[in-house]
Amino acid sequence: MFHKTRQLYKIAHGKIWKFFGGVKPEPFKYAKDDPIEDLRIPALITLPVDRHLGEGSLLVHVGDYVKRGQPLTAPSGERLVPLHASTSGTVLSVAPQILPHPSGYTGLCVTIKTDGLDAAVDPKPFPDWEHARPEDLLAHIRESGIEGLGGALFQTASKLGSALDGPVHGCRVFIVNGCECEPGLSCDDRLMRESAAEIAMGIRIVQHILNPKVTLIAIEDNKPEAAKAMKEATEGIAQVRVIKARYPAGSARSLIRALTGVEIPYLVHTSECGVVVDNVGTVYALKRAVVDGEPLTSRVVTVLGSSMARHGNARVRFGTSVRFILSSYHLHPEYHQRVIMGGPMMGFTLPSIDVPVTKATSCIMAPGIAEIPQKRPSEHCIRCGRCARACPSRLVPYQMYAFSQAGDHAHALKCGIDDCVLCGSCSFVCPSHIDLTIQFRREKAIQEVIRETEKRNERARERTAEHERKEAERKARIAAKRAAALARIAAQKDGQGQAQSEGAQPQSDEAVALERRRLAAERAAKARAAMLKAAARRSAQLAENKDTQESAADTENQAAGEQAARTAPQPEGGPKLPYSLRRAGRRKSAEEIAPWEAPESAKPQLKLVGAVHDENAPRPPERELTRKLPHDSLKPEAPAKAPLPSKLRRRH
Amino acid sequence: MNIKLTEQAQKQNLGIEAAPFLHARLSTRAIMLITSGALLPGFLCLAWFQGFGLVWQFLICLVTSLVCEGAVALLRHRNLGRALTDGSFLVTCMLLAMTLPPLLPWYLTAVTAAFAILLVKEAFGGLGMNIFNPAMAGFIFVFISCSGFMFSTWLSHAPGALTAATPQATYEVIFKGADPLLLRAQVRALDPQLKDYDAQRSGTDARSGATAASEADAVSGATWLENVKAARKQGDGALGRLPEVTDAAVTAYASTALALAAGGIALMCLHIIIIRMVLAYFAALLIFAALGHYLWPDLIMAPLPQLLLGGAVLAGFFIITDPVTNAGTSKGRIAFAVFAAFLIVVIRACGSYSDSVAFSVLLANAAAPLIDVLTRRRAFGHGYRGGELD
Repeated sequence: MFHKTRQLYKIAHGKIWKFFGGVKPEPFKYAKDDPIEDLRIPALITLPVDRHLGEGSLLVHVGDYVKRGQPLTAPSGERLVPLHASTSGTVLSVAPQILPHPSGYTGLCVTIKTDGLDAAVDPKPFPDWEHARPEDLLAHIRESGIEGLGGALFQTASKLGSALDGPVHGCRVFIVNGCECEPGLSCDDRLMRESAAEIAMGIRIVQHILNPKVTLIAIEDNKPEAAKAMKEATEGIAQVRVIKARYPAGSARSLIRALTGVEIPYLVHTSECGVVVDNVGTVYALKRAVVDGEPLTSRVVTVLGSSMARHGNARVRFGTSVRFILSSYHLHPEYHQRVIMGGPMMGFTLPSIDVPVTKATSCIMAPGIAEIPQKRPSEHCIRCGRCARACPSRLVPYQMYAFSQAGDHAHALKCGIDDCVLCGSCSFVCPSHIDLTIQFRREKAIQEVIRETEKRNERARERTAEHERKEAERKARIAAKRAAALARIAAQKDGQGQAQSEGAQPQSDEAVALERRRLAAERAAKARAAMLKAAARRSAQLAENKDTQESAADTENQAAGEQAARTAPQPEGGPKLPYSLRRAGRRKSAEEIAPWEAPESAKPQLKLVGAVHDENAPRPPERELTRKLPHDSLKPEAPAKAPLPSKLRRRH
Repeated sequence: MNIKLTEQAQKQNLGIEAAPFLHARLSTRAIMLITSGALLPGFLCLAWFQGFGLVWQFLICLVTSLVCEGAVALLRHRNLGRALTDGSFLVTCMLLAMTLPPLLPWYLTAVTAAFAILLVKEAFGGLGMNIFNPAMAGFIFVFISCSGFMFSTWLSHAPGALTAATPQATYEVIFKGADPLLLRAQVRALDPQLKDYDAQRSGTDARSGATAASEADAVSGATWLENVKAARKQGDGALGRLPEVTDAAVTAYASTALALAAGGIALMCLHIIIIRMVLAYFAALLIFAALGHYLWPDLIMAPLPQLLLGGAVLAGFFIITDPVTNAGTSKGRIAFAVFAAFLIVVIRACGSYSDSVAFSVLLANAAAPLIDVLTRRRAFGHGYRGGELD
């Protein structure tokens, strides 16, 4: 116990621990002396809504007039925050647009034609937040759409909430991250220098919610002005810690290590370990939301690069296109101009500049070829070990790379691919210019697919076992019935024989024939009844399966799902699915589709396609469908008479 | 998912790259060139004390390895220019020239260099894939297969050997197959103490010139390490009765070691080799030697001769630090260095060959994968228990 409190004592008294690895790239902090300026309102605002929607619904329609701060989505679940219009205007379209992503894929966006008035909804400040309950404050923060502006976009309210309800119960250390270790960025630096008082207010709000024992502000030593401003503003509220400028110092795990000496594994949320790390931008946004009642509609973006006439820090409304920003800063593109979103170490080049700025965009960089040279072709690895010395996760990247390239994913996992944060330090130092980080990104995706496949296989195995169990039960039941029937028949025959021998009453031939016909008719009727019953049961089952099949097929659209399906071992071949159940190869002949009305229960629910990959969505029990049903040999003579099943099942 | 670029995006024709976009300035080629440069003081120093033969050996190695690398690149359909400019063979050639006897016939040198490049390096997949140090493996190859040549063509260190072993004289020996004994006698004569010694011997035995020198060699061995081995083989106490190393030879060995150390320290300052590894190597070598000498003075030499004689200094700065063939992590490299130092002391005490550095480096190379396995790193956050902050 003594030791434990001592750790906290050391933390509170300014001890700074060493963290492993790290590199020192060229800082590129050209824009650190440019004050934050407000960018003009662009003509069009494009707001991606996919990650603010979930299973929820859009609140606006094409043609609606929206004001700044008006929520556009009502997301489902606690993890998602609503999206707010970032200026006033008319909703022009709700359609897929290119998203800011290295692959340039499209997603649902709300496009607003701005009217230039920038009319805002009435601010809703949280009344008397100093005496409010944390839950109410958290709800307000969520409603204001606040997410981690450091780049990870982790929802702030749920982070704070998990710190409160986590296994540790309460927050020990609250760290405000003003490190900004990524080269080129200066937005947090400027924010700290210009709005230190507001950030201090935000820190007080978080302190009110979390009640941490220690509050620290981490600033790298290349930002002395910011450190000074914050020191003055947060006197008595928090302690400023100036740490050495080294590249991944601003990543949450490294920062926690440097300031608290604790190494929190990558699989655990830091907030669940009693440490909460929030970016200064987030804290600032929090203050705006709680005290001023303004939802998050803009952020500071650093714009720099030698292909632009000037550089600076701009307060940009979400949804402003990168093209607009670049032209505001007078881009003079070179051949194959690279436009990097998010800093030169962890950012990505945009395939198109017609993409909106989102909450994750911290920097837009248009470097010239002389500023950042193009990549050189890679050479052989000479195992110099520089990557291992630079890795903040203390991995051995060149080993992992070799395994990953050789397709040895099990070994790559063993080498710790899960602990890799893709910070790019290894690629940065590699003297052979090997693209380690790219390979690790790929490897991570592969590992994801492998896990997915493993899950599917597990589910499939469970399903098979269940099916086999049922099958065995059914067979046993049938065998028992059959045995009983045989016994009954034998008994009957015996009885008849006895009666014939005993009674010695010669029956007329006619009577015997009549009796036989009666028995035959009885048997036929019984068989028919059993058949109909079985068919009805089966049809109900099929209808239910059809429902699940539909939703499963939707999730299948996701690339990962597709790949998993490809790599997953296919169930051994059996009879194929009925055509009516196959989504792709469905036959649309009139006779098959027209006459049948599905019962209410069998109708597939309409769902938004491809919004979120639902892990728990039930999978189609393919194996059950592929089995021949027990009564196939007893086909009804006239299937048209059976009302439901005949249409579902294809005639052979 | 629509991963393919839209037409609109394609028209913008932006440069696409993957992060990180920044890169440190150091490249593999630069590392190799800097290492070669750092070897240069030692090389020049050695050339001064061993004659111009060193330069001829280097040139032979260089031509051979260029031819070999080029041929392999052509056979493997690799970029010829890149294969010939990666600089790794330059280091190998320097090391070979410094370790091979300066008067070794040219064909043997060429075969050694070809063996080092083709079999030890390229057969395993080229730069970065070899498991043994090419220079050391090549040295051992020629050392084991032609031991006689190795001793007959060795030149002992003598001040100003370059004046006796001129380019012309060494050319005659190396390329034309002239008798190396005459040249050896001339170089020997440069050392005043050895000259007196030889003169004494020739006076008593009424012999003269080259024959006397060869006789003296036959008795005293080609190198000091050979002397030590012979003394050790003779039996108890012989190691203590060794003739003292001449003053001139001590100067030569010490200044070579200093020149090598200068290059090595330059490498350490440039962070090309790991400082801890080099320090661990020298510390371990001295400690093992001191301990062994204290326990078995007849068997194991004193620490200082252990350090100065043979290739111990060269190995410490330039051979065990070869990143390709040693263990992966810093911890592993320190273990590797200590193991190599241990092997050097042990092989010098118990081996049947006089030189032990090459053998111990190869054995340590063979143990490197095991060291890799044994010195696994603890990844970040592993072993987190929680509750430290309560």
